[in-house]
Amino acid sequence: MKPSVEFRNISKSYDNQTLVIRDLNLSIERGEFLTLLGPSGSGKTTALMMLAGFEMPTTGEIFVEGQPYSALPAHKRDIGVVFQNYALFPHMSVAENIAFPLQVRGHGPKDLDRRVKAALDMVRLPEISARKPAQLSGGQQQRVALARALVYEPKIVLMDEPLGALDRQLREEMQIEIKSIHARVGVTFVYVTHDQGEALTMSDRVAIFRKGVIEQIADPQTLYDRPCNAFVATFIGDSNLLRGTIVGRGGGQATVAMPGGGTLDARAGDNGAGKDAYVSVRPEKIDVSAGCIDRGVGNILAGTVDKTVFFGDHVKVSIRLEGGQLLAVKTGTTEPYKNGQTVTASWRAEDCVAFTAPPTRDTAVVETTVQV
Amino acid sequence: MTQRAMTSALSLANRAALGIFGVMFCIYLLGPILAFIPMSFNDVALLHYPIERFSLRWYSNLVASSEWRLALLNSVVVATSATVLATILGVCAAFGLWRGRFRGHSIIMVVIMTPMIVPSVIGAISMYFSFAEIGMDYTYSALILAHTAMAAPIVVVTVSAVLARFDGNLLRAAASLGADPLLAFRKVTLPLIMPGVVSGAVFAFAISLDDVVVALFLAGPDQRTLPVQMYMRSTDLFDLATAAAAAMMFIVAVAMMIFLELLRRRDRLAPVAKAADSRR
Repeated sequence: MKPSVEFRNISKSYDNQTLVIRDLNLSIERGEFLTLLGPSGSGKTTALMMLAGFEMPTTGEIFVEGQPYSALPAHKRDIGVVFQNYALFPHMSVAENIAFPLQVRGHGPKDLDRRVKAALDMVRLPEISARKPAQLSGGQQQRVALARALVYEPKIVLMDEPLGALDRQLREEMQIEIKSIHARVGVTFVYVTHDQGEALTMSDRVAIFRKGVIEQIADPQTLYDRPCNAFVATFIGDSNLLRGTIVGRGGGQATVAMPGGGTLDARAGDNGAGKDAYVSVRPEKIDVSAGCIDRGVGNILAGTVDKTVFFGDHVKVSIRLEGGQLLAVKTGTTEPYKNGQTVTASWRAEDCVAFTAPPTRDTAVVETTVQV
Repeated sequence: MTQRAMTSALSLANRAALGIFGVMFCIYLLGPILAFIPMSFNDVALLHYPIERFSLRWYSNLVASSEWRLALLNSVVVATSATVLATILGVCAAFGLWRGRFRGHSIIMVVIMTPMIVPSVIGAISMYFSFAEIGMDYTYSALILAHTAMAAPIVVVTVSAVLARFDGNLLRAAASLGADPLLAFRKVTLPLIMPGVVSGAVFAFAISLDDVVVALFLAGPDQRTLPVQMYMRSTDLFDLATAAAAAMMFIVAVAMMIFLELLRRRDRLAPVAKAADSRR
């Protein structure tokens, strides 16, 4: 079966000088929920706009179900779009908004009513069809926009940061809602966000964009557990990034000497030959205990407590390692640590990855992305 | 006298002074018009007060006179045609300028605005010679085209003002839903910019109805419009039919002003253009 969408060697420049998208190759399966995730300016929205037909690729070709689409105007593409500001027609009622794509396609009034009603039921808003968009809450507008983008059964639905304007609680509700609608209609969803939590909860696969290039594309679990480079490791979830020097390699493993003494065993994250190492380890994978105890679980580093922050269900402890680097630890323990107390941090070798390239190529190396 | 009483007396004096000033300013603005118009109800053909006997004879004269009837008809035909043309052209120009951010954008804006800035007598003389050159002087077409050129800029201004609040994402949404650009314009853009289009059209109508200078040059006896007829009558054999015509034009002008104000209020009460966008 042909993929639903295929970007082949797509590049895009707005000013003929800088590339917003660089030689993008991406294949999206039918019925998949794919999220394009990245910081602002990474090219994720541009990729979406090219698929919608609002922007033309500078080079390359976009295929939808095997057909070249780059030259096809937006209104002939049959791709639903949900905009960040919803873009509901303010002069039309909710029912008229949802009926719009059906009217354009020449559906009869009977069919129209039935489908509009079904669409409103789907987004669980059966009572508001006569209202104008300005009379709706943000969440309701979002649902209506979704209903409008789905009512004519397009092949693909694109969503450009659709939950960005909603408060946190509503956003979490809508994430579940959108996910369940996707499961019911089985249409290909392409979703753009800069919120990594959103990407991990909703997606079948996530493509991490940076500077017009996809750094990694994988399912959320793989992205979290097996990031392919230091950027992905620090961008997805919280991660410590410890600097050291590689002193041994082999069998997919690397041994890293820490500047404050001691060595770490880690999975080798890439095939780089450099000596510099950036070891990524998640705060929740680290055990911390008072004193200098060797439990023999793998990597052990000693340090002193810099500060602790209580979050209710967990505590974040920031440890100043020998050699000066900070290590953030997320622990469920209620054991109170005093600032300056000597502690031991330990974690398994398979829970950390050593990369040879820093997370950003053009700025100073970030010691840790965890704010304690 | 206490401090408070003194201040309140002072503020009372201030308010009274402001009130007197306001009334006098209004008299200054409207006095001549309000003094002139009631004379159209005077039975005697004299420009003085008091009105000796109330009568509508000048109004019936106006309606009976074929000369005045033709002038009124000419004005209606010319103003309506010019309004329709100017509105179509102005909406197209404003929409085009809104959509495209191209090189020379601001130069085109200046060119479009020129007819509003150039003194009308200069415009009138140049148009007179240009139309004469191609044998179109003393025709309805020439007069309509001239008024269209004079009125189109105001439509560009009013429509551009509403387009500035128009969310371009709505057109992208319409396209994604399957509407071609023309349908999207008709179903989405046009209804939302309608307040600007209508007020532009009203202003365009007023500009055409107001014009004496250009019509004096371009209109022959057959195309003579109401303002030209009034001007002619006032300078030769004056009768109070001119005052009656002035009264009628004044009422039309006031009606247009009231209509625009109602339109503005409705637009403000229902901020249609960017309801969703305000939340960004």
